[in-house]
Amino acid sequence: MRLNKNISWQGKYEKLVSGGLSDGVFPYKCVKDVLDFNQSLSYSVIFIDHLDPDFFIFFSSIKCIVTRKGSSLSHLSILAREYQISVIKVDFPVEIPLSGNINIDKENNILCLC
Amino acid sequence: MFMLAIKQKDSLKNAPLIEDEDFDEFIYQPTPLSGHLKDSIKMLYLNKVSPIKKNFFKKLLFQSSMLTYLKINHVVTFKKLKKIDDLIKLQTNNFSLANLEKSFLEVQNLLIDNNLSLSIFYLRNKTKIESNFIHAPFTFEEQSKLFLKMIQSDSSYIEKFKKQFGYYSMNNYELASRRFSEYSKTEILKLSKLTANLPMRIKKTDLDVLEQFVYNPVSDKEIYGNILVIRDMAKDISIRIIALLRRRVLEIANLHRIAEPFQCRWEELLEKENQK
Repeated sequence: MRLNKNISWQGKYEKLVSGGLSDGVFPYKCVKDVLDFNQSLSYSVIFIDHLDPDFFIFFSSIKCIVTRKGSSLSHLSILAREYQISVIKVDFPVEIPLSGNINIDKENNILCLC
Repeated sequence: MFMLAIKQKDSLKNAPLIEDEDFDEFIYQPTPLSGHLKDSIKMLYLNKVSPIKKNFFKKLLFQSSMLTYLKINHVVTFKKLKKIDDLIKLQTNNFSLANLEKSFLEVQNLLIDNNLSLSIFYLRNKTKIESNFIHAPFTFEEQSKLFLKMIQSDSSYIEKFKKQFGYYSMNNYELASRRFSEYSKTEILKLSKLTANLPMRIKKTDLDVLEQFVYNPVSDKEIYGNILVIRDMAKDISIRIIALLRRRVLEIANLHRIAEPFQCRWEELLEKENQK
């Protein structure tokens, strides 16, 4: 995959739940468990390893979940669909910065870290 | 039914079936003891799915059985689960590790069939589901968070929450995870604060009349609802069993002075349990 100058990583994602996904730049935070909740309040996107139902708590502040593992029928995906939260699956690298901005290109299903 | 399955012969290929890595969702970073449960379920799942993937006729038979399940047989599964649920609720003091494991795998076996049928249903009704034309019923996850949220305005809900959802925990299927019933008041309050701004599509008044299963489902909406109610119920019973298993493991550890019981192998603990 070819990278632009201002992009540190980009990958093609699979849309698991549409929700209100839109094009644009959004602040993201990588979270490990619910205890990271208070630190993630100002981020509209969270990066998680797998779709653990415990992350339901984050629905109060986020618009989109980026996950490495899971399916459109995972428990959290089903809940996300009801609460209009987008869920996308992409094999993002483990060593990405813990927070930053992502750019979502909905037409080509591409997610960039910028 | 069989003809319908033939018409959809390729559907299984596109079904959102569980992949190997998705078992992480079940228990994240399991201890050796919980790893045993994870492996048992993985084995159950693979024993069911692998032969279907390899053989065309088995695939057709499987799909036709799944369609029958969606139309009729899931009601039988619901009744079976209700029976297990009643047994678990009644006999909480008489369970051995082996018995609890047996019940757990029985529930998981039913859950796997239900999940496979859900995959087939999803493929046939993807647009309706994705566009929220048909909705999921209220889940135990939402109900438990509703109770947590209510603690904010009424602290008497701490006890109600512990009574109703005390067997839940973080990383629910991990035996080493402390159950909410073991949490202190301060810990529950801390947890409750996280739910302060959580949007809910369920109200307290909904819980009083919460009967979500339809015994004679006709529409896709009713079938989808039923399949998800079964899934949620099976998960709830499984977590109840996990809490009982945890209690039993701690009892054995106490009796035999085992410092880190969750790091033991399953067979080791079974042996200890059977020692007089």
